[in-house]
Amino acid sequence: MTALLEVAGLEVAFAAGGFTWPGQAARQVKAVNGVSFALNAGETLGLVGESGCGKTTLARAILALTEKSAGEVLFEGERVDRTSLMRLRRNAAMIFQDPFNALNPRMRVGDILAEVLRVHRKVPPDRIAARVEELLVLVGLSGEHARRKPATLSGGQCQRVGIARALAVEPKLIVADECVSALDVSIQAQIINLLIDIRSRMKLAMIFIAHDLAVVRRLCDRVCVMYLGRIVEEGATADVFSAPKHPYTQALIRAIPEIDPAGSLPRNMLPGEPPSPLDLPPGCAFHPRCPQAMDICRSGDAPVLRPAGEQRAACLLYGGVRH
Amino acid sequence: MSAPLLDIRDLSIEAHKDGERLGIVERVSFSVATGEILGLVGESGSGKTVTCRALMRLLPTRSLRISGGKIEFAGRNLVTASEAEMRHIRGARIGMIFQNPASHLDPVMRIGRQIGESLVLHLQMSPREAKAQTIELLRQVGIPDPQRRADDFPHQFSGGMRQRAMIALALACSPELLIADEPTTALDVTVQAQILRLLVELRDKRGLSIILITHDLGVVAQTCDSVAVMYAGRICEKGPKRDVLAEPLHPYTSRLIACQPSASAEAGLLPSIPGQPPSPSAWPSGCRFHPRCERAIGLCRSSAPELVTVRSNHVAACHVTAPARLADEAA
Ligand SMILES: Nc1ncnc2c1ncn2[C@@H]1O[C@H](COP(=O)(O)OP(=O)(O)OP(=O)(O)O)[C@@H](O)[C@H]1O
Ligand SMILES: Nc1ncnc2c1ncn2[C@@H]1O[C@H](COP(=O)(O)OP(=O)(O)OP(=O)(O)O)[C@@H](O)[C@H]1O
Ligand SMILES: [Mg+2]
Ligand SMILES: [Mg+2]
Repeated sequence: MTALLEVAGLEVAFAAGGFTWPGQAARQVKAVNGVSFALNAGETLGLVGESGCGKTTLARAILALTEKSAGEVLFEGERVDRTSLMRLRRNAAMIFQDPFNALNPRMRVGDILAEVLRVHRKVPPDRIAARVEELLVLVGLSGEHARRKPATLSGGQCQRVGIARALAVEPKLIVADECVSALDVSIQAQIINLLIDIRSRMKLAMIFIAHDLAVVRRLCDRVCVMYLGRIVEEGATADVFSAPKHPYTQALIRAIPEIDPAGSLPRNMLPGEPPSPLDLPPGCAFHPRCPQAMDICRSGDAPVLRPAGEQRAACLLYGGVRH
Repeated sequence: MSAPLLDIRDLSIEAHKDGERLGIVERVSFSVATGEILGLVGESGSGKTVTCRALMRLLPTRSLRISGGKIEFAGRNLVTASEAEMRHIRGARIGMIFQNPASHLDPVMRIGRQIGESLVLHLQMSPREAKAQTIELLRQVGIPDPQRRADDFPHQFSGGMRQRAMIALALACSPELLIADEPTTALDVTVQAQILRLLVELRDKRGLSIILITHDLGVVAQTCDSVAVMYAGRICEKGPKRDVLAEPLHPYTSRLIACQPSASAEAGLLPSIPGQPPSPSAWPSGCRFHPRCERAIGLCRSSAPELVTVRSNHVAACHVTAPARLADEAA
């Protein structure tokens, strides 16, 4: 069976801001650096990692919304290029991270959804209004919201319109970028349960970017943990959460806040400055903040993913070539 | 105890459109003392953002207006303050981290310049001082390589970096009160903890007061002194953090706490509150939570419960649980 989506060696580089002397090489931010993974139909992949590590850029590059500088993306076994792009666009939808900016401020919510239904020819014209209302109810809004402009909606209401718009496409793949971050836990649960239901009925595949690890744990079959543009750990969700291997993943899992009424803030799990993507340290990019860094971590190429327990981690502490 | 820094009494907000008037927020009261961190939690669309925008007098006047109540900040009623006075207060005394940072950062101005200009304007810093302070602020909110990243435009930042730039901007003028509307929604847990530590530190050092709007009760547990819970435009429960989280009274609060997903649970469906959240054009009668409440009695349908004090500072608006708790406490 071929995977629904395959990403191989994907790289995205941006020209960095700031002043460059004439003759000096332009500085680059490598936002995504050699990322590879595969996703099957009906599978949900969680993508987590530090703010600014390249999750949104990776998602956008997969859907060709941002230009990649290397690597390739295959959708249903076919390379995505200019000619096959339309097929990907018809079958994939993105839910954008910033719900306010993703909606056209001049259009009413109902028209935003109706337009998607028309363009994708999902229902006959006389059924559009009914389908719009159905979609709104599905995400916990009502027909009343169809007449409103985005500016008169709350943050969570905007976010749910974004979700309804992605569902309207009836895609095979949804790339959801922090799609429940503005919702209270009850509505968040309704949306997650809805996604679980649609996933099993329609074999929907998802890339689910989220910082809320509790939600990732419930929803995702597998997780990729990113750090500074690279995947540093990858495996089945239960394995990664119960026995995280990469020291960055370990810090991340330990920092999850629990509702302990006597709770206080955890001490700093990641001391030191976050390194700059403009000036990647040699060796493992995490070594300046890693409590277990060894000499071999500080030079050479970045470690590649290698088996570590049930999952894979890009960390020299584990098996691989050196033991 | 001295007078609180901020005291909101019976604040009501209406939406008006085509002659129709809808009550969005109804008789909301809370206060924030100097150095207090108040968590404001509640259902999506319950009126948290609108309440906070009202107290900055930043409601879109074409569609929303304050229809009653008062907002007292350091002895001044902000409902009747002049626009000139509000401009001063907004720049220098109350900082706001907006829920949608992208719409509150100028897309064509470099990040560093936006922060620097506000320092020059409100704190009369020299451009050189402002630049150094800007870089320090960006460093404090965890932007790597702040010296160079200060030259970036907002679109060159990631979602979470924009959110942190917004935080730096709100903190730039050392406000006395910070309104933080979901300030960490785009941040991973380690960066989130760093930002929360920064806010708590500013409170400890400078007596900064904070209203923290969040959906994450874990964050409330870690940082807040007190909590107010909103449902459908009203406050349904309010009190010290420990009391509200450990012994919630209002059934909505209890359900909310029960719905909080835990990272140690296995895969599968998440618990949620059955039924749909109500909307301002069709508020339920009586207690607005009654159609979704498993403990509702006849009275809940006909009469809206008032907030009742069940223990020092812990108040709840429920016909069923509040009297029961009062009886317990008396026994
Ligand atoms: N258009 C752009 N031009 C220049 N740099 C960019 C651009 N878009 C993103 N970057 C940089 O690329 C890096 C990765 O950004 P990205 O938005 O992918 O992060 P992210 O993982 O989604 O973070 P967050 O969790 O904060 O949303 C950041 O350093 C960011 O500043
Ligand atoms: N300009 C407006 N005109 C009419 N109704 C509005 C306007 N702005 C907000 N509303 C409505 O007021 C209610 C409260 O909105 P508010 O943004 O305060 O919610 P919130 O509690 O911040 O929710 P969230 O957690 O989703 O951000 C919502 O039902 C919203 O649709
Ligand atoms: Mg992002
Ligand atoms: Mg809001």
